Amino acid sequence: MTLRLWIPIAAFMFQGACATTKNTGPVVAVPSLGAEDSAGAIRAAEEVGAAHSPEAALHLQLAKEQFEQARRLTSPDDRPASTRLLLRARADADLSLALTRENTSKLEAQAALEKVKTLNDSLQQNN
Amino acid sequence: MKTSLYFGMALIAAGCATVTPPELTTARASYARASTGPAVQLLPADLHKAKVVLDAAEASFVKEKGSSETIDLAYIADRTIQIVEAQAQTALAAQTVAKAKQDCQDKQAAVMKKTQASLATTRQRLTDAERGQAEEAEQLGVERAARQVADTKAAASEQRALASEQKTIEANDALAKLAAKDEARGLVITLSGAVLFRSNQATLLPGATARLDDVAVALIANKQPVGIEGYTDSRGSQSRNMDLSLHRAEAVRTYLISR
Repeated sequence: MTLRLWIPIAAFMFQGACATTKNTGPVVAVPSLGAEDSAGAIRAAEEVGAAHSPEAALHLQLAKEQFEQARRLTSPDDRPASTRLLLRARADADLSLALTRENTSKLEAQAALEKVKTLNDSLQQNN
Repeated sequence: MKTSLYFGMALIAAGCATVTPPELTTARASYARASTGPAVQLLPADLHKAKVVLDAAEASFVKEKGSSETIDLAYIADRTIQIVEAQAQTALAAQTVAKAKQDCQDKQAAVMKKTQASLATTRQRLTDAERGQAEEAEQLGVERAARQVADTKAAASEQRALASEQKTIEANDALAKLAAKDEARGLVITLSGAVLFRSNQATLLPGATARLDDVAVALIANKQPVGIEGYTDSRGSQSRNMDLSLHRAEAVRTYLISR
């Protein structure tokens, strides 16, 4: 039951996963979600400057906290909970990255629009 | 161990049977918002994947209500939806940047085209002006040369007029000196034969030339046909005198022509 619920999530979190459908439900060749995957997502968010954007920084912080919680769960019995925490950490890290890129793109768009406006003003003055 | 765990989870689920986890409520709201946003047009496949995650959370909620799996699924569904929304906004911003760049290029191209046209017009005007100046300078040169020619001619004409006037004055002086008489047949100048020739000779005396020079000046100024008459005295035969007078007239004519 638990495995069937988590399969689609893991499939979305890892591009390249190959899914097929059988009568008993989805059977997915799911790569194991290691701590390094979440750690890599966190590093990626940090590298694009997530710490400088308030909303992205919040999700980056959440990702780090959940990652640390997952690392503290070392018992084999805690593995499902650890995996879920790592998935949450990964989701927050990816969201932090996406928000940072959105912020950067919006700034670029604003700068581009300003440039167009400046050019328009210049043209109107020359005409 | 596992049996007891599942039993415990079942008890928790039963206790929260009617309470929707806030994570799921948030995820539903996020999806409702994303369903009316730009992600629908820009990233429909990604939005669909996020919906599948949300559906998994809903299915978990139906089966296990407020289980930790349901909560985590809802949490991840909400993040996934927000990621799609952020990616859609990023794509939207990229489109804006691309359009702005295209606008800039179009406007700069238009400005360039207009500037080049203006430059071509200015160059043409400059060329026309230079050609006009060259033609004007050429015309001025022609006029200046013509004026110089006219001035030269006028000066020469004036010079000639002055010379003519001077000659007239000289001729009048010569005529006055020669005591010319204005008769019906014209102006008559009479020179004494003793001044011009020795007796019985037709050769001009040295002193005769000064008198004949005065006559020449008067004749040149007068510009009229001239008749020369030779005379002798009464001595000698008539035929000899006729012959002598003819020779004397010819000697005078020869000298005057030489002047």
